[in-house]
Amino acid sequence: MKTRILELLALAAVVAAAAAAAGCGSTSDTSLRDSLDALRTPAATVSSTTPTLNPLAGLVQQVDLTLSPLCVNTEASLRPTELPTPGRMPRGSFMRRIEQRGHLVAGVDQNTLLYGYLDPFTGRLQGLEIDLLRNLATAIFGNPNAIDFKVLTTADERLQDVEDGSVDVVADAVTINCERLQDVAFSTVYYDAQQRILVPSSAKARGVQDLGGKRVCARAGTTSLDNITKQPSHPIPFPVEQRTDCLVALQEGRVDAITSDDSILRGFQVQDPYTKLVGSSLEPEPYGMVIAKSHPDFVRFVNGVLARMRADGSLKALYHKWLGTSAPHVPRAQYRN
Amino acid sequence: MPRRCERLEHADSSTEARQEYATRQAELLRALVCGTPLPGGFDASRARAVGEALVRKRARAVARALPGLAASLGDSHSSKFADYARGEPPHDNDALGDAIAFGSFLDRLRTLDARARRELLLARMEYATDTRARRRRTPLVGAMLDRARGRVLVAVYAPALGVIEVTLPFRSPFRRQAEGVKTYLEGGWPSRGTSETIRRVTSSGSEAIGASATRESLPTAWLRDRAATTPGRLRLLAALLVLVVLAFGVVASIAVRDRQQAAHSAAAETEPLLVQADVLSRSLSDADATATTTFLTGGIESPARRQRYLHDLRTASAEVTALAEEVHGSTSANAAVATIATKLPVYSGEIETARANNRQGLPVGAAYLRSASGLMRGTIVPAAARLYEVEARRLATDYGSGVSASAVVAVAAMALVALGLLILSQFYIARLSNRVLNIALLAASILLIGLTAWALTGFALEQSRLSTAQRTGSDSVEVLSATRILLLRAQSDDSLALAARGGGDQYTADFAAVMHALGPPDGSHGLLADASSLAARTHADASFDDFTRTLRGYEAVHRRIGVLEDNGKFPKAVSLAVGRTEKEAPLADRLNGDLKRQISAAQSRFENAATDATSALHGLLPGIALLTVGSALLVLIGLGFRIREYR
Repeated sequence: MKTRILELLALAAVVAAAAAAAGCGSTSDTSLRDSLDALRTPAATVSSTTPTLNPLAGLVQQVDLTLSPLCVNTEASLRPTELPTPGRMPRGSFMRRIEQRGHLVAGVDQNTLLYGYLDPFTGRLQGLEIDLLRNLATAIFGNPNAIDFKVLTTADERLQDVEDGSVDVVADAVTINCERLQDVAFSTVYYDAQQRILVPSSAKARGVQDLGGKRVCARAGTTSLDNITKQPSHPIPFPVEQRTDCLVALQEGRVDAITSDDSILRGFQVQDPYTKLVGSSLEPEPYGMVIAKSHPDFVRFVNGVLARMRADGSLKALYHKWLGTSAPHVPRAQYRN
Repeated sequence: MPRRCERLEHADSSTEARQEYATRQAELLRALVCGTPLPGGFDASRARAVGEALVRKRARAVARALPGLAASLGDSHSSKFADYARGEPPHDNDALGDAIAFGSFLDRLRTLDARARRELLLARMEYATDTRARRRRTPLVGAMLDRARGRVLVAVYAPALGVIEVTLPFRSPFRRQAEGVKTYLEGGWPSRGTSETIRRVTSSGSEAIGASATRESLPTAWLRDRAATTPGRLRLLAALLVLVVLAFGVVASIAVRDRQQAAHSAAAETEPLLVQADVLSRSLSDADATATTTFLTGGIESPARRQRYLHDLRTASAEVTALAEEVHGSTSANAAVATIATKLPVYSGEIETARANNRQGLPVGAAYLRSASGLMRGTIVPAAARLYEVEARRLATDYGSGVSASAVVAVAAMALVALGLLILSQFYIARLSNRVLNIALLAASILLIGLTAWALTGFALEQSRLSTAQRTGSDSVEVLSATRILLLRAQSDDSLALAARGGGDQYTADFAAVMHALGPPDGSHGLLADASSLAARTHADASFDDFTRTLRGYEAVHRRIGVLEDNGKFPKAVSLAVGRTEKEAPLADRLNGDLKRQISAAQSRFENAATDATSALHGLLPGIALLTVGSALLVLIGLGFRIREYR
């Protein structure tokens, strides 16, 4: 039958067309998956050893530390030796190694107005501590610019970088204390700061006693943060990574007060006149330059440079240059052998 | 005395005379139907004759109700019934009930053969499901064991179907296989043999009960009437064919509409949204990279960089506004849009504060910049990435339904059913009328074949073009966009690392992670491998090679900056990146430009192919409507001729 053959052929054609249609033109989502996977690359973080914030552990350590001979007088540093001529460091000394490298590596902060900060106009680091370190470079090389500043972003880096040798010296508002003396060496005190409280000028608080239940900002890993957690009025500590982040937090209303050293807080006041310092000193904060324990010769050298700057008045001049009339007295050096 | 005979005593009366009368009447009745001693005052022989006549009458009714039972008993039927009737008073106007009771009486005595027992089972099922004027609503199962033939008879009653009888072999209780299924639908339609059997079963019940009209549902009766004559059958056939052809039309229309919608949605909705989401992500990343790089160059940024930042921010705001209107339904997309819309002003506010402080030379500006950048990189850009992901997945879904085989299979299957029926009916009609050709039916078949071929060709074309749109268009757009976003992130990492002046280890690590995700420029692995194979697929090797050359250059400069940075030569490092002797920024800009060109080329490839995909199905919907209605009409015409011949 003719019809039958015709129609069977047609049926076969339909089946073939269906198979072809189903077979061709498939899609795949390989590209989609790959691009989404790539976009999901998580933000990399650098694992840093954060100190445990266990108050009991601190207490136990403190008991041990008071017995340490270093803690009898924490501000006493190694007695200086006579300073060698710049560019002629004694053979075998750590200064000689720095000289051979061609530049001093110093850890600083770039956000602390008056002490160590990046001048946006010039793109250069400036401040009291920067100038101190340039004096150090001059003493080694006879050149204040033979220096490589490494910017430290966390408080813990200030000690760690010295310990692991990635910087020669740190001048970044580091308070000398018994606990830190176990790990690193300090120069003589180059600045005597006091821990104070900064609040907005409209605030009613007159001291730390009025800050119970209020958020108080301090840099993580600093003595200021430890100290504010111990206050009997129980303020709520608000740790940030970098000091100046506290000013941002205060200006944006995320915190009620900042606690830090008066030196740093004065820098904040310069940047934001709508703030005021309140209360008396919570704790003295003597600053020393941090140097590795393995380099006592470098400690004596730095102390020698500081002693010369005290003697010829250049340290006083630096105080005046950066802090103006409100500059405190230059602290007296205390030595041990 | 049998229990049921005692009930005959009941008769209500008020006076003693009536009571007496009623008692005597009951005694007489009992004597007549149950064979108890006759009360005084009656002629015993005449009373016996009346009693026997009553029992014979009952027996005849019971034999009519269960003819199989009567046949299997033969001559012994009346005597056995007399035995039964002695203990059982007659049922009021219910011969089937009486017959079932009789059958059960005999079954207990194990005197029934299989045929009679089967009849009894079916009668019981009917009786149980259809006694009280309306049909039973719940299923019922009855079974009997036929030891002689080694099988089990199961009768199942289902409300809409009637009684279905299934015979199972009974060799071992663990090996039962369905030997055959016989469906006893009352008024059953298809085969003659079955309907005879059915007629026997049902007619017995209908005669006995006298309620055959209510038993059959109306549609089946209607069908049976129609199927009884040839023109009736032809009319039914015409209706069936028209129905199937129209059903084919409906299925094909749905399939075509689904495909069309998917292709249109991919071309006109999801892909453009994906591009918008990409533009958003990119402008956000670029704004951040520009802002951080600006900080590196010092207090006063170059007007060009400031313009670029502002342009990025404007673009991002515009895209967020547009996306907020167009993203509906997806909660995660809405949340992402909300995050971007609320955080972007915070970001720009912090950037402006940073700028104002920078202009005064105050380091708190840098802190604001860090805070803003942290907000951008930690919250806003990830939200934009989520949005991008949502849109990318929606596009993938559109592609999936645009090429889904289910449409093709449904249309093909429906076409086969319709054509098969058409062909079979042509054979049937040829046999009926001795004419080989029915032109109208043949034309209807050809129309259907043509329509199916058109639909399937349309599907195949649409599918292959949509696949082309993905393979050469949107795949490239996706991979290249991701590459560009990652490169911008790397750039921003670079700037932030430099801005941190040696303290930006996390940015350096992030740069490395981003570069790892991208893979080496030779395209051996990572995202660049995808980009490279896509470039080969779309014959864009030349521009991709340009891009990888620039990328190599960029990485070389990045390494030099790293070396300078490690050696404390920050001013030099910064100037190599963005300063007076800048090398890195122009390279980065060239990379962005290369990618931008490649993306827009891929985008136009996508648009062309996707438009072609939608146009592949153009005209198919009205075509289906026209052609299916046409072939339905042809069916009616073709069968109409044959039907008219019977008048």
